[in-house]
Amino acid sequence: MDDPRTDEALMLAYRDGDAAAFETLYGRWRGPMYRYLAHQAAGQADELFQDVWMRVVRAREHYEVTARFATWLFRIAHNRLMDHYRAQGRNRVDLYDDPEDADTLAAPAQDTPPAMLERREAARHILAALATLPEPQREAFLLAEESGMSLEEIAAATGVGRETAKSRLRYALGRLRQALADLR
Amino acid sequence: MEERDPMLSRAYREASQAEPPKPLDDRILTAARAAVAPKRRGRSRWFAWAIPLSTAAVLVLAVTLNLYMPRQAPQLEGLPAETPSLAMNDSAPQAKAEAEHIASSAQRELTSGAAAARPGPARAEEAAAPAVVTPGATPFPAQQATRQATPTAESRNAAAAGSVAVEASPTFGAAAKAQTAAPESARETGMIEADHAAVSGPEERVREIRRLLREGRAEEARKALQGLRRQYPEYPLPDDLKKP
Repeated sequence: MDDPRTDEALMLAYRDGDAAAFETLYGRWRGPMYRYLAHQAAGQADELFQDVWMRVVRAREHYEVTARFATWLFRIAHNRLMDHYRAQGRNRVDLYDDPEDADTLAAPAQDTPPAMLERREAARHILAALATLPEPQREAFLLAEESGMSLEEIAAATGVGRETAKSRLRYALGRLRQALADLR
Repeated sequence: MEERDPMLSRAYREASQAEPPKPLDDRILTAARAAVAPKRRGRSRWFAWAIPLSTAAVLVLAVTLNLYMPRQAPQLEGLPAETPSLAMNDSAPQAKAEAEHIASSAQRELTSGAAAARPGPARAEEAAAPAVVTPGATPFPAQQATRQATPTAESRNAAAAGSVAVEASPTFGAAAKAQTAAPESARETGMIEADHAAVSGPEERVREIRRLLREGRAEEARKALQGLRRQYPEYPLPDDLKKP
């Protein structure tokens, strides 16, 4: 895992037949991708995870560096997640299409010092709070946390404008802070 | 507006440490490796099957020949009876005269005494025996017959062996299936189903891009294509849209 090449260079190398490059790339992103899917589709993470990586493998032939690799990768994951929601006949996809989106939702503004909370308890609490978030907001938070994406990258990966991504993330952060504050 | 909350990040990271299970890692990495080495894999697969297949072919050939040989045996037994005529044809007058001479001397000995007559036929047989054996006709026709029969039988048997081996070997069948297993495995993981759901989006976009191209709106088509690539990076572009 000490390969100094960038993710994009590794993906290009894999496209050109370097299987070891894929292994390095996979090693870098397997954890974040798995957690992203585990939080978004509990109980089906394994299947989705495999599908996403298989799509990456199949898409290698026409891979070009048009964005950060993480954006490209999580765009594929996002599409797979939407397929999953559609296949389940759930209304979750509509949440993503809502033009009002999170902009109309009031973000809890209270900042609390989570450092005062016991870490374990905080961890349990934050996961519970994360599970209660609407999918789009949770996704924005997970993309920011797991892949280190900027607002622009989150917007690109999820197919929305920067402002929508921003409001989703703000909403998520507000709700999670509130959850931690409740522990006090 | 801050995009990160360090405290929140730390709490989240402590809470969320799930990792994919090892067998899942192995499956993905194996598939990824196989995807970039299809030719080498196909070649090695052939070589991997070459030895078992040829062994099976040889076994079937051996069994077939073994079953075939008993039917040939009566012919071999009958050969000595046929061979003299062949031998007679070869060295005809001399052998015939010699045989007649021996037979007549034996006849003479027979008339002189019954006890003395016994070696006569034996000698006649001994004398006649070379006529049967010496031309080397006995082994030759058999060998020739075998040789003549062998190539056709061999090729038939080899063909049969091949087909039998192919049909009978479940592992070969599995290997053959494995060559077309890519869509199967995808179906197993539910990917096809998911793809159908996803495809409605990109396919509509592809139709739109084609329409734009037909109408000569190249710039719009190019932008639409970029959008398609951005939104559906995993979607395999049709050949007609791959050109820049």
